[in-house]
Amino acid sequence: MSENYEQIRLRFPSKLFFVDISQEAIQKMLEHFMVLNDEVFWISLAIREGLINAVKHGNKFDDTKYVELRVGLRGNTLRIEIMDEGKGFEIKDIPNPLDEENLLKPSGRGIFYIRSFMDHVAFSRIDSSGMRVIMEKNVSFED
Amino acid sequence: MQVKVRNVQRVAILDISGRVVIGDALYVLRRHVRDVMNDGYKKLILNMEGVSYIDSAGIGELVSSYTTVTTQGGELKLVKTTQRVKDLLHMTKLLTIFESYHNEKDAIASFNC
Repeated sequence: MSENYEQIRLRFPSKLFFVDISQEAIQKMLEHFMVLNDEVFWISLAIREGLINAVKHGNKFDDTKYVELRVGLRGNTLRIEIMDEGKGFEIKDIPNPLDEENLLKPSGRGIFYIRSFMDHVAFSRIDSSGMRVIMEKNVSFED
Repeated sequence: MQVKVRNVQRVAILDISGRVVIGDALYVLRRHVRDVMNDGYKKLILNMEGVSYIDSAGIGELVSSYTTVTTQGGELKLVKTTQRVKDLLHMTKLLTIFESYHNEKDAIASFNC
C-alpha cells in the first residue's frame, strides 16, 4: 500500500440527507483503497454517528450552519475529523448508555459506538465556533 | 424503511425492510407498533430479516418499541436479526433485554412457554 496521503473534504448544510451522501462517499473511498470490508462497515457507521451528532446536537438541524468532514489515509492510519458550528458540549456530561438506568433510553448510544469502533477519539472545542471530533483507526487491507 | 404486518396465531409479526436509520422512517415503525397494540395485540415479533442497515437511532427505536409494548403489558421479540445488528445490541447490553430467535416458529412458540 502506498504511503501517499489521500484526503477527502466535504462541507454541507445541517441536513440528514447530506449525512447519507457523505457516508456513501467515504464508504466508496475506503472500498477503493481496499480496506477490509468488515472494517469499512464499522468505520462508516462511526462516521455516520459523528455526522449525525454534528447535525443534530451540534448545529441543532440549523441548515444555515455547516458540518465539515475530512477523511485522510496515510499508510494504514485513517484519520477522520468532523467539525460543526454549534455551541459545543461537555463530553463528561454524556450519560453512559451501559448504566442500568440508561439501558432503555431511546437515545445516547452514538458516541459510545464511535468509541467502540475507533482506536482513538478526541473531542475539542473550536474556539467559540463549534466542536471538533477527531477519530483515528489503524485499518487492514484486503489481500 | 417499510413495515408489513401479519397475524399468525394472534401474534402480530412486523416484517421490517430497508434502512432503519434516523429520520422520518423511524416514525413508520413507531406508528405500526402503536397501531397493532391499539388493535389489541399483546404479542409482537419484529422480523429483522429485511433490514439492510441500522444506526444508533434505529437501535433506539427498537428500544422504544420494546418499552411501548411492555409498559402496556405486552411482549416483543426479535427474529432473524443479522449478525451486525446483534453486535450493536450486544455492545450496548441490549441482548440482555431483547429475546432474539433464529426463526419465526420458535419465536411464536416462545410466547406460550
